[in-house]
Amino acid sequence: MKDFIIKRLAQTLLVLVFVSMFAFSIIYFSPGDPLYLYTSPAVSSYKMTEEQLNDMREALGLNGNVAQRYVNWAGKMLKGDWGLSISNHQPVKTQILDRLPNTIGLMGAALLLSILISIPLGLLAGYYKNRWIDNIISGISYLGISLPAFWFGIMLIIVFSLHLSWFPSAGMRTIGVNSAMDVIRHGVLPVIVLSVNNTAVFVRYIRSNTIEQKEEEYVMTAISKGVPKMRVLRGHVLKNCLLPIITMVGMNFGTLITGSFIVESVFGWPGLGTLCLDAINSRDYTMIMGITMLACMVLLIGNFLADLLYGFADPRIKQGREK
Amino acid sequence: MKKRLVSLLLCLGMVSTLFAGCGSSDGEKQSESSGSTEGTKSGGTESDTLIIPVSATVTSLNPLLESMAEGTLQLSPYSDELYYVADDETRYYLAESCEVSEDGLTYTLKLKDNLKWHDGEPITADDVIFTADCNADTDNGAGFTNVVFAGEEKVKYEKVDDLTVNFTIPSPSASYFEVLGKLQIIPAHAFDGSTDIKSAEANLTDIGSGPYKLSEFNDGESVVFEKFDDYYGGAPQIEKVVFRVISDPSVQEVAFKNGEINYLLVSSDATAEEFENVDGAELHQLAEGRVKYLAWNKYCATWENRDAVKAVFLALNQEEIVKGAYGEAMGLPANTIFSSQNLFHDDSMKGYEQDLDEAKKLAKSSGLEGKTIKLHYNTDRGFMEDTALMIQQQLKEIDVNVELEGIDANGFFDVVFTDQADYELYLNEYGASGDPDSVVAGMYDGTWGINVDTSEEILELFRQGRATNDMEERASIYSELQKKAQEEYLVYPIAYPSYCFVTTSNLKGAEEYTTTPVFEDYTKLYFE
Amino acid sequence: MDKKAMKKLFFSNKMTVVCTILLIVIILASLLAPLSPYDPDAVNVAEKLEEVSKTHILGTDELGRDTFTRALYGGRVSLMVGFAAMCVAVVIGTLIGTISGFKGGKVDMVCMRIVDVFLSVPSLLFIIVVYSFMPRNMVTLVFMLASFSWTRVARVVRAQTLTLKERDFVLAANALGVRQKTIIWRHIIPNLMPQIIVAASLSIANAILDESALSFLGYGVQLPMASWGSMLQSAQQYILHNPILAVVPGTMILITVLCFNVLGDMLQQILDPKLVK
Repeated sequence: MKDFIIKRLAQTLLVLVFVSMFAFSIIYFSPGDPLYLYTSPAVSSYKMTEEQLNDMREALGLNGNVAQRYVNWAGKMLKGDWGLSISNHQPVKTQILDRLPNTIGLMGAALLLSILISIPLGLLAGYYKNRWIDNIISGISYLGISLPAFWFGIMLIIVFSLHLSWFPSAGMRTIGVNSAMDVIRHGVLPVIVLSVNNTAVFVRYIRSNTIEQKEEEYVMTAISKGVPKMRVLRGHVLKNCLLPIITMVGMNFGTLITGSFIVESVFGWPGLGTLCLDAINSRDYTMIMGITMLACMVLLIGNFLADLLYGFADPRIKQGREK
Repeated sequence: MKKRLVSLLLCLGMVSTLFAGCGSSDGEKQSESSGSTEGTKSGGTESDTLIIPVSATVTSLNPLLESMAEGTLQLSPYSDELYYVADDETRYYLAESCEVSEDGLTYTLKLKDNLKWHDGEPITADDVIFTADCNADTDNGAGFTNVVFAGEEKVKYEKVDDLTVNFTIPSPSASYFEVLGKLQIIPAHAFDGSTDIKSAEANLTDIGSGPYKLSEFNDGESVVFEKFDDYYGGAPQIEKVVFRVISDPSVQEVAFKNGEINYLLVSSDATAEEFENVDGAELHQLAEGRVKYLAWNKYCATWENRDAVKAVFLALNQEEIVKGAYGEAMGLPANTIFSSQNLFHDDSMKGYEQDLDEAKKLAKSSGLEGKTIKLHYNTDRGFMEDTALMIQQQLKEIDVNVELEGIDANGFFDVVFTDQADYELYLNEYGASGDPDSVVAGMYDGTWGINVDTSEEILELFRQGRATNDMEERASIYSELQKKAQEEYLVYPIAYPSYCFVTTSNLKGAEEYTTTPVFEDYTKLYFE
Repeated sequence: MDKKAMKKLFFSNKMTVVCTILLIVIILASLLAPLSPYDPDAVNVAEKLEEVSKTHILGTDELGRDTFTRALYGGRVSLMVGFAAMCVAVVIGTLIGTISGFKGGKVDMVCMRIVDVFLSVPSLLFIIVVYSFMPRNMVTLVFMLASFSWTRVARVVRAQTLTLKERDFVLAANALGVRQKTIIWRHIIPNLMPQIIVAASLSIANAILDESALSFLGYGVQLPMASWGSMLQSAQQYILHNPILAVVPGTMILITVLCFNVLGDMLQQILDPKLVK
């Protein structure tokens, strides 16, 4: 087990390094100058001389070839210094950490909602396979994975905010109001949009797992013995489904992260997604790198934990992996 | 099932609160007790708070560093300029007066004597000097660098007394008066006198001089200003001004209709039309003082024969482009390279008129016919995409195929303000209000638009316009210049965009001044 | 399972039949788009933002272009992007998957780590980052979309190759000294077809969805070409006044993606005997 963990950790780190190199070089070789923020005619009608521009580049650490700059950046990163944002010269790390809880809150709530909804629905659909209830649930879950999230988001805003006035249209808080209820009211629509896709995926996964489980002998026996359906579902099927669910959650972190980007931009949620899109627009490479790295890390940790849990709980898997 | 769903939603709410509770890391307390206002359509409809939606919060509260349009919008209640040169008058804010010497070289700036920074410290000549120093340190990339540089040469500035500063420019420049007036200053004491202001922490604290002081800055969420009682112009009438992030324009509109915000920047004709006759909302239309134009790249071989340029200009139907891309509310056809908000704009001129037969002839004779040409436009600018599409369509008439390539604002000027030769046309815009010598001249005299084929004659006219302070003389020079530019097919001015916005009708004073982005003077605003 | 039985199963399921018909209709309609009397890109200012009428059955957009015609042409682009991305993904995924599974050992190790790299990157974030820094055209778009979906194909294919490798006919061919390349081409890949088809179907669905998300964020196809995604994006502005402009492309995306998803899933169930019992 220890070997497995070490090996996985080493792999994870390796992957991170590769991803960072890849991302860094893409940004480096891209057209568009971060200095635009200061030198564009839209900002200042004074045109800088080449010399002044060079000095500025130097000051911002934008000189040097890609390797030098990468090493420079990576060295600092390892020491915990994420660099200064190009656009406002404040530390990237604090800006990201300021926004992080908002995104995590959104993602956490969406994940929880997905799990809470998908377990009962998945079990029901699997248990009553091909019956009307399964058809309805499966149909909805197909819809769920096929919906363009941003479109769905705007539609929800129009219906629930404009026409029904149940929820505010955007943002995270009402100005001047500092209550939990207020944040919840703002969070309902984004969380629903963000959870739709995952819920659908989970439902389908749990459903097919339930179908498998139901055909296992011990479940058959329980049913034939006359154990109430609910108890069979809860006691046997669900218990054996939990493991795959955990894995599924770990593997689906990526969708959640990218989903939160879109949802945040529709609902104006002050999270990492909006921060990142703004950074991309202003070619703020330190910020882009910081967020990319963080997102990758979260994803990798998610995968890693999922793997680990799976390995712990099921020795067969561990062995299979080590082969 | 329904019951379960409801309870699920509740649970979810709890979780999201827990997280978001931790989220308010900006030092505010998350007090559970204040939940009393919950449930009402609060905010915008309250009569003491003005809420304006923006797509992102400012990156810095320093007016020297934050000079993009949305930044200017957000900082305008918070930081004042020295004075503003309007068409018919000069309105003084921080400055008491600004006198120009006989020779037109020395500008004596006098500050008002009761000025205070938001922290209570007096605003003095030292702050002006410090601000000028910060601009002179070009590593800062500050937005008012043209106050301290005239071309390559430096402007001299010195303190005369506690409220007076002399600026001396190397050669007479008619637009310097206006340039200097736009300067916003920052407090020397907040930066400990160090001109390396880029990463100073003070940039995120209250360093303002305007009628509103900072109350809360929630990055990515909102900037809240409250009235500054010690403001020299008297305390403003509205308690709070809030800039709230709502990035999607449709969502902004929903928020406005819901009464969550008091202001909505209109970005399409359809929206403007909708709000024209709605109770509770008032539509305002200002000329934005910009020129949107189509330019041809002189380095591109396609234009060796100037008849090809003529063919393109004559093939375009300006009226249709403006009507199609802008619509009635959002823009007016442009008739010269100056905007209607420029001093010396010549109203009597007519823009280019379509003449398809002539255009076809010229296209054929110049060899343009049947060619495929490339047009670049800035994807981050409004109406550009639709304009490009209309041009593409209209040039089809003379059998010219246009390939469109949008570039975002970042890469755009790296392409169009260079000597790259591999594209024919581009759509661009420039700010054109007040004195044409400041920005407009820079677009044509080789400072920015180096691929525009400005003739020696026009350059000379720009120089003459700059060198004299006599208004009548300048008027005739610039009138000639505008005519020349048209005769020479310099660029194709397409439209003067409108700055269109809706306010809740209880907000008054919004049209007191017509400066954009709004509002020049927040003390003039009040709720009824 | 032989092909006949598969066919029978396929046609016995109402959902698959309905989806197939819908897809055929959508594809045919896109292909026959030129039959529409309108030019999809022709601007007509006089007919701006028209309501649904007899001449324009789904109204017109902000530049007076016929929405119905644009939706048909948009379908061409969206489907083309989807298909192309799928093809690239399937080719890369199949190659790497079979080689990795067949060769095993170090090759397998390296290939799977590469797969891991791609799987551990939040795909859309990366596509946006890369795409905003690259020349924007359809080729880049297709490759970007494909570069994050081939991994799924590779995984499935590798797993299947591992089992096929142990099958008698492969072992026999190996023993007879048939070249490895030939074995892969002749014996492995043909037997992977069903799995590949399933993965392909799902990856088209994803590519179309991702393309629309990219368009929404402003990183879509080139003008004046429209895809459903870019139509949706420009309709955004008018969503409160002319909701039909957003409803049409949105619904098209929804239906198409739904059909591909359902088909892919159903095929998988047919292939997986455990689930069809």
